[in-house]
Amino acid sequence: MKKRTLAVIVAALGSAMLAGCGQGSSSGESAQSTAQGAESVAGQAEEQGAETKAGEESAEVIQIDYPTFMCGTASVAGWFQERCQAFNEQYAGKYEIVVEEIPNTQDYVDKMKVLYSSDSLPDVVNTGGYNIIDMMQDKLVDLTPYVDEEWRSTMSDIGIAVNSRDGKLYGIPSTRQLVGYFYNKDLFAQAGIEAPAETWDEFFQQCEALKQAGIVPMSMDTADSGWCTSLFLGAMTASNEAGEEFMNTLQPRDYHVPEFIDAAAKIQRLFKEYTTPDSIGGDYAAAANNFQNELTAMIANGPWMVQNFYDTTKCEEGFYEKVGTAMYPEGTMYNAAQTGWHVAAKTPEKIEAAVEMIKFMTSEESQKLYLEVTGNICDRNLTSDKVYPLVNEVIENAAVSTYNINDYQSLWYANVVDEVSVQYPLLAQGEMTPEEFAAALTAAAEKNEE
Amino acid sequence: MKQVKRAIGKTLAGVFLIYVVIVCLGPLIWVFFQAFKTNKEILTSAFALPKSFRLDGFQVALQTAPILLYFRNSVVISMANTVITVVAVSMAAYMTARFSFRGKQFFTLLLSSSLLIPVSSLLMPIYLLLTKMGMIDTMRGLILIYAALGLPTSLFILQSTFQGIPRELEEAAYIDGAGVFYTFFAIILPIAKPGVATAATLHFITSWNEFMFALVMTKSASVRTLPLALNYFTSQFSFNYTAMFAAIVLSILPSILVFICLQEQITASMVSGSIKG
Repeated sequence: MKKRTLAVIVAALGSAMLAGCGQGSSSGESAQSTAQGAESVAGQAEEQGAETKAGEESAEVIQIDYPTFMCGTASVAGWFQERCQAFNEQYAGKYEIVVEEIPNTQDYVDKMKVLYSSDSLPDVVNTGGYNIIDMMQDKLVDLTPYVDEEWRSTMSDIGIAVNSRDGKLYGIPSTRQLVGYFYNKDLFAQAGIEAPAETWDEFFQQCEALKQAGIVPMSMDTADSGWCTSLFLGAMTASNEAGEEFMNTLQPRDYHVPEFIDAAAKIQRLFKEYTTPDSIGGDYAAAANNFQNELTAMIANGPWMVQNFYDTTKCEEGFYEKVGTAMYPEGTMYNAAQTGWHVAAKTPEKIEAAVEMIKFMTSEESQKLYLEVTGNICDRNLTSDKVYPLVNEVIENAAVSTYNINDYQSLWYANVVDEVSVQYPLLAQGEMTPEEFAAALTAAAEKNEE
Repeated sequence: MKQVKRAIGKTLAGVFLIYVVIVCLGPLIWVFFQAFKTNKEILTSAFALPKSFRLDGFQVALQTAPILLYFRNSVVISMANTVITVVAVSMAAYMTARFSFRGKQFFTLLLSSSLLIPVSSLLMPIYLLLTKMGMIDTMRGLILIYAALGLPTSLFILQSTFQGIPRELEEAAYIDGAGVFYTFFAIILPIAKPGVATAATLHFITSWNEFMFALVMTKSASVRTLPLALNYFTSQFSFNYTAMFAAIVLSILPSILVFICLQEQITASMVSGSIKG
């Protein structure tokens, strides 16, 4: 009996393995149909099969390989799925986007590095702001000849500048990074605070007032480069022109800057006096949860967070009405362009198709939809009455900010960004001084070749 | 006095058993309950029971990521490369454990060399190799990689297992007229079952959990594996823990069900041959 059972199991597993290994795509087809839209777009391409290159040519459909992080729970997933489908319908019989889903930007960048090293970059790359131009410039197509005046006029000057090297355009800008901080109006009122602080001294007075009212002032984190904490660190650094210049420097190697050390001291004070115990070792999700559940009064983050304020699985109903937006004290805002869509295709036909795809994704229609669906700010100067009001407030804040800076993840060396997570807990617990914090980041930066 | 001692012994044994049950089942039960909680409940009160048993998480999990397809791929890939490794490596390990031949040390070092090379530095050369072999984005490619990566660990486990088996058994077989192959497959391998089971289990778990090669060497949903599916639910600025836990439940449930149905056979195969005589 036992032998018979085992024989049946072995036979079943064997046939499953053979079926799996042998499948070209047919068995994958039915299973893929359960996956969501963008996946099915990729599935359609797989159905044709990699081996049917000849068939592909005869049908004259040029396939555009595009790995995307815009999938899963990413706020841009819905937008991309809709736009991808729209492109494939509009260019049916001519072009087709073949999607590869990589649901995490860090994994995305890691894979692109391997593909770059093996000269196998896909036709279109978009890292969501991570700068790959300096690293992969030799494999990216100079898009200058493909961008006519009309198209160029839709891009911001700063967007063009961020995506250009030596006068050549290596990326089409699509998004801007506008980041201030959010505060809870009800909790501010309970502490007798009428408006967000205009100076850092006033900011700390407000923190103290909140603390005295029994409210934890700040949502902070240290894991994954401590995004919320680092945003405040950068804003504190950029409280004068020298600090602003430092915070706009690409890959700084020396952090022994007075403004930076002073900001590190302020962050240390926030950790010690004005945040939750779970901030040390905590990640963005914990920090966001503390703010969204009114356990803290302030969090630094971008407008993409606004849609969460309406999500009743994350906040109480109506929470969005309690949230206000502010620029950082001294009139500082993260207000920067980001690297956008890159082409790495090798043949003229593929390059043309890739450019057409990017033109579609950065068209006014697509960008407006992007703003409305995701709450992310577009490179084009667009507004919409369908946008969450808080997003519009962030845009308005950025329009009047005094100091405009770029975020550390876009500018600093990757290993320095990682080092921040290692050093924050030590700084928070008083095991290192702000000067030592600056020295640790400098040491990390110096490990990179000039 | 004896009765008191026995009662203390029983109590201690009971406490120990409860501890083992908590350690083994605790995480599974915790994950199961998280799948029914909202993101807010998970992050605010991680150890509380769910307020209601809503199935939204499971629905979102199935809509967001092709979990079932990835699960099937993981089963096929892990099973196939485990079988290949165990069959191939057991023969190699037997030869290196029992026979002396020229270049034996070099051969053993060669087979173990992948232990010394960091996985990240293997990515690019293996990618190029698979591309040239036409095996990129195929299950065959992943099976081959995992089989090769698991080779050194399995080799060491099986080598030490074979070294622990008395030579007299083989000598008796040879005297009775058995050849090397018959001796290996009919006599040595059944006795070495515990070592083979250990190597197979370790290898299966390693390839089941592997992430980086699966990410880099594949791009189609039809060949991707389960660890990639779980990444669909968290990114730097967005997360859906309810769906992620639901996905974890969906992905571990079949394994638990299979184990419950076949536990007698699995346990028997793990322990058979462990007692000689």
